[in-house]
Amino acid sequence: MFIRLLVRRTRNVPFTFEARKFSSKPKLAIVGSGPAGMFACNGLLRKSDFSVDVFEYSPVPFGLVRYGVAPDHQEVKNVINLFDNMFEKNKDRLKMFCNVNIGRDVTFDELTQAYDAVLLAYGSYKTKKLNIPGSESKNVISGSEFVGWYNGLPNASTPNLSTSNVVVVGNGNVALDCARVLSTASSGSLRISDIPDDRKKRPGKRKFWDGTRSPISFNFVLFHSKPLTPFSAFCARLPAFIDSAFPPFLFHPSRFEVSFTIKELREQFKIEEWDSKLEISEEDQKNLIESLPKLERKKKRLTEVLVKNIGVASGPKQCHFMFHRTPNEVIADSDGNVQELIVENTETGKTEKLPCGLLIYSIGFDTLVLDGVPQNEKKMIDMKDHCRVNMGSASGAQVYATGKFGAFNTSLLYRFSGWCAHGPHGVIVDTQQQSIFVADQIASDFAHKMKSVASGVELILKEKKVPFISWDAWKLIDQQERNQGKLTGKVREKLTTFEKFMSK
Amino acid sequence: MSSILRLAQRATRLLTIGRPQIKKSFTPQIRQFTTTNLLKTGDFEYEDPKSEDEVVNITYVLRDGTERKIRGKVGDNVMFLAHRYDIEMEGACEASLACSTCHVYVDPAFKDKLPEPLEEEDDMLDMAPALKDNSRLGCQIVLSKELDGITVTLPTMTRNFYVDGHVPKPH
Repeated sequence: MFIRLLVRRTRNVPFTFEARKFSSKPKLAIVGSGPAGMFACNGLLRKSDFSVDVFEYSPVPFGLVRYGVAPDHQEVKNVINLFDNMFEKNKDRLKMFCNVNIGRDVTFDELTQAYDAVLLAYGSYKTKKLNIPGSESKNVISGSEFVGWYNGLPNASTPNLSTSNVVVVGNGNVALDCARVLSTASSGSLRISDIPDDRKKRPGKRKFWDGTRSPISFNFVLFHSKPLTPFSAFCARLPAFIDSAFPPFLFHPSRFEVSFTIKELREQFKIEEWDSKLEISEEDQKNLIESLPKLERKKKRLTEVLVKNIGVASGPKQCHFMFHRTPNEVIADSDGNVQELIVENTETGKTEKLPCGLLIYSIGFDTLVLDGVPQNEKKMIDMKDHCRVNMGSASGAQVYATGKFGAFNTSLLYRFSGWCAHGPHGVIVDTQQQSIFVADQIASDFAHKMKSVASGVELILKEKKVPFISWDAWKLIDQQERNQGKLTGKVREKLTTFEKFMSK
Repeated sequence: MSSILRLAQRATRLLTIGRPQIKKSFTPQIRQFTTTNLLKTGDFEYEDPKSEDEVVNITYVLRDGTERKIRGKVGDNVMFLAHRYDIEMEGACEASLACSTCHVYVDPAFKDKLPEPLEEEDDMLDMAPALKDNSRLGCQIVLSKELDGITVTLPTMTRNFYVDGHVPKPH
């Protein structure tokens, strides 16, 4: 044992020396390989001589590009080509380590000691729970669980889709994505997308994805001014949920809030065979139309789409957009499956029962603070300024943060000005701009620090036998997925297990 | 073959006046495959102009204010041309009108010489931070002789961009 250890140690020594000898370039660790991390990486490689190691918790890279973007929005995933090029062009100074849990496999402290700079870009995958009586019933799932499931996230739990009544709670794009994917899938047009086959072939579900299923109706419940959750987690994306502590003048004049983006909203109204309508009161309708001339461009164009689609959905496949509803209770049947959702109509004060066999809620995200990352009293990453983490007097790397749901957006800065000034954020361009900006900051912070003795953590990973997946292994997976997809005319057939690609 | 298709598409786009309504009947699924196939590569922009007649001069104003003068040619896509010269203009969706990462401001003198934006472009511009009257997507601007001398400006990203009015604590 001792000898083996000695052998391993001595074998490692030259590597360490070599690494030290040649690592005069500053070394950056990026936690998270989604768009935020990759855009920042691209920006930084372009304008500095940093060498970069990227760590990803999932076995495969690109975060929400792979596991978030809807399967009918393949063109958004073209951004992967940019990331591919970046890796190919920078092989000498860019490495990927997927399937690595920062905080467990490598501690945050080890990370800050082994790098000159650390960029946190891991987003926030902690979904806010719908905390109402009965919400533990079967087939009550969060939007992100559903999105993860249809996108082939390993170990995602399978929803039961054998129902005709789906209720989606939420007024953001995640809610809209869930509804659109369900609607288009039931029309059969998602067969060539990259939804994994094993998500389609479960007993009893096949008909659903083939479009031959009996009609489904959707209810969107968009609830309003209910202090269900604290404001902070919502601000980046879902302003409509804000509780009464927020000044009312920031709202749409008609108090009629949505934070869908216009493209996605339009698409919902255009799905073939489906009748999607905005079911709103005459008063709301009047307010909405009256407000139109006063609105600035973005809101005006969105409101025009809304106004054009006011009515009552009819026909075999219906999608109802409902507002002013607050979910109060989930009623389950004797097997524990969701059967009904009881909502309060805050406009009429009446209680309503919505039949519901699948309840999907998307009401925001909580910031997740990795073990070891400094946090403030609000349980968010403790930010020193717009992009630097407050590391106090700790030695080691300068730590930065960026990203969509992550530290950047939910930091205190964002609460009071950023979001108010620019409206809800969350599309890829915002992430890109933030990340390029943070990359600029890192590059200028390190512009004059030429010497580096940072060692990186590859040796630690190998010593601890962490089964990581490298960039080259990912390219094998990528190729296999594309080849397999070709057989059935799909963009790719996503794998959901990756054991054989892991480092030994 | 693909370059012929691309030229054909460009020609159609140049000829179309106002907002073509053809896309309306398409479902999003169909559209995504056609657009990505036609517009994906940007190889055309890597070809030099064959004669002076083809040359279209364009100036990119970078985020730090510096100017890059480029000799483009008729038919060049402003975003792919930027990629050729390593100008920091992203193009996340590769000109398929699914993002606004190639947002630019167009020299007002040239604004009216461009065809009106498609509804899809306007939808994406709605998402672009710091939108102005002369905002366009770089990937939707195709150079023509009429655009000779055009200037496009990349939006600047400053701290205020994200947190208007906020004064960060000194550190």
